Amino acid sequence: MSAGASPIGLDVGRRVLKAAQRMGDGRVLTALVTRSELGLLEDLDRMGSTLWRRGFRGRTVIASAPERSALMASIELPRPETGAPVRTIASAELARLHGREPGGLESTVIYRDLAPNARSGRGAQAFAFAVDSAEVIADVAALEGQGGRALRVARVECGPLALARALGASMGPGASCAIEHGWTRLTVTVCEGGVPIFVRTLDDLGLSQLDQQRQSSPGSLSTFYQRMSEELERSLAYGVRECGSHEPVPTLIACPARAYGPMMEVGGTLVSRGVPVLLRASLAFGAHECSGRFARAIGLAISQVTAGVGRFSTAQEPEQMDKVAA
Amino acid sequence: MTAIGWTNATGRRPVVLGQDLLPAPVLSKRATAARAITWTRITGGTLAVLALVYAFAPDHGRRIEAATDARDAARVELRAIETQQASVLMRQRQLESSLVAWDRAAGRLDWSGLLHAVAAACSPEAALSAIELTPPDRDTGPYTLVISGTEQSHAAVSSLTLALERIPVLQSVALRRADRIVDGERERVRFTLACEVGLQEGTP
Repeated sequence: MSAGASPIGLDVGRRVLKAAQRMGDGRVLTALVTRSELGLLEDLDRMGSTLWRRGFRGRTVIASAPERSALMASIELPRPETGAPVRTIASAELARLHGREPGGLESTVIYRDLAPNARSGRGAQAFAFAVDSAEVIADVAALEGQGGRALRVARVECGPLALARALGASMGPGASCAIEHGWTRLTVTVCEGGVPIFVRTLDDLGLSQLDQQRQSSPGSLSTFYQRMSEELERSLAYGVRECGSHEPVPTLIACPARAYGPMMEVGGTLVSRGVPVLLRASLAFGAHECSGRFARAIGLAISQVTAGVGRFSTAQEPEQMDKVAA
Repeated sequence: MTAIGWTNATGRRPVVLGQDLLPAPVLSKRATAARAITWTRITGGTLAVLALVYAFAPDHGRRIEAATDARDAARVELRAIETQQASVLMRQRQLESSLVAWDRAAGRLDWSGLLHAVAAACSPEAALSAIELTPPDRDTGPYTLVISGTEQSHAAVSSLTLALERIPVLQSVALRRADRIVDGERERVRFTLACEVGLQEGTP
C-alpha cells in the first residue's frame, strides 16, 4: 500500500465485483467488473487489470464476507463485559434461527447501544452476522492466489458493517438508510453511529427476478414494483422507528443505472406515503462524490481510517465526529 | 473488544466484536508466515550488515597483506644487513688476528733464514732431534743455537760442523758431544752442536 492511500475495499457480489480506494488527496477511486461465467479467479484477473488502469495503488485488500449463505439477525446477547463467549453464542443462535448446524461459522456482533449501569445478567440487543468459514477461506484463497497480481487480504468484514461505515462517513453519525437493489436481492439497511442496527433482505425482489418478470409477463411489472414499494415502506418505517429519529433520514439508493429511474419513482411513492426518508443517489466525501453502488467497497476501504481517527470529515455534522479508540 | 464508529444519539459508542471474519486457520497460517518472514528479514539484515561491514569497514585482509609485504621486505633487508654484518665481523676478526700476528711478530727476529741455512747444511743422512735457540742472559749477548741429532759417522758430523761454520750469521760453532750409538742394526753418531748467533746491524 502506497503512502497516503487506504487499502483497497473489495465488495465481492454475486453479479459484480466493486472496488474502491481512498487516495491521500481525498479522491475516492472506484472500479467495477461484471462477473462472468468463468469463475472468481477469471473475474479477479480482469479486476486486477481494471484496478491497475484506474490508478489503484497497492495490493492490500479488505474484502467483504461472502453473503451467499450469510446469516444475520438482531438478537439479544449477553453484554460483552460479562466475559461470555458472545460470538460463539451468536453463531449458535443464528444457526438455530436459520435451521442449520452451528459449527464452522465466523461471526460479527455489533452492539448498537450499551447503556451503562445496566442490571447485571440482563442482555443487550445486538446485530449479529455469521458466515461460513469454508466460504471465507475459499474466497481468500481465490483473492490471494492470482500469481503476479495476487492480492493480500488484510481483513474480511461483514458487508452491512462496511455499508454503515460509508454512510456514517458520508452522511454523518446520525441515522441513515440504504436501499440496495442487487442482482439477487433487495436489501434495506438502517444504520446509526456508523454501525448497522437493522438489515432486511428480500430475496425475491432482485434485478434477476425483475428481468424474469419483464420477459415472462411485461404487464405485471407494476405488481412487482407495488410489492417492492410495500416491503420498502414496512422496512423503512420500522427502521426509522428503531432509530428514534424525528427528522427525515437520509437514504441512499444503490442500484445499477438501468434500475435507478424505477427506484427513484418507488422512493418518491414512499415519501408521498409519509415515510420520513430523504433520498440520495450518491455518496459525498467533501468535494468528491461517487455512486452509491460502491458504498460497501468504500466502507471497507476506510475501515482503518474510521477505526483509528475520524479524519473522514463530512460537511453535515463535523462537530459530532469523534475520535474512536480502537 | 473493538469499538468503532461514532457516538450515536445517546452519546455512547457502538461496540463491535469480531470485526475481522478471517477464520482461525487462516490467521494461524499467516502468523506462521509472518514469523518466517520476520526471521528471514532478521537473517537477511544481519547478512547485509556483515556484507556492508566487510565491504566498507577497514580492510583487514588487505592491511595484513600489506603488512606482510612490508615485513617480508624488512626481513630481506635484515638478512642482507646480517650477512654484511657477518662478513664485516669475519673481516674484522681476520684483521684482528692479522693485527695480533703482526703485533706478536713485531720486535721479534725472523729465524726462518737461519733454519733454512741449517737445513741446507745438514746431509741427507743427518737426523736432527732438536734445535734449540736460547736467548742471551743479557741483552747484549748472542743467541745460542743448540742442534742435536745423529749422523752416520764422525766425519759426517765434522762436515756438518764445517757447513755450519760457513753460515755467516753463526759467529761460532762448537761440538759439545759426539758419541757412537747403535740405532737398530746400524751404528750412528749422536752429536750436540752449540752455535752462537751473531745479529748484524739492520737485522729485523
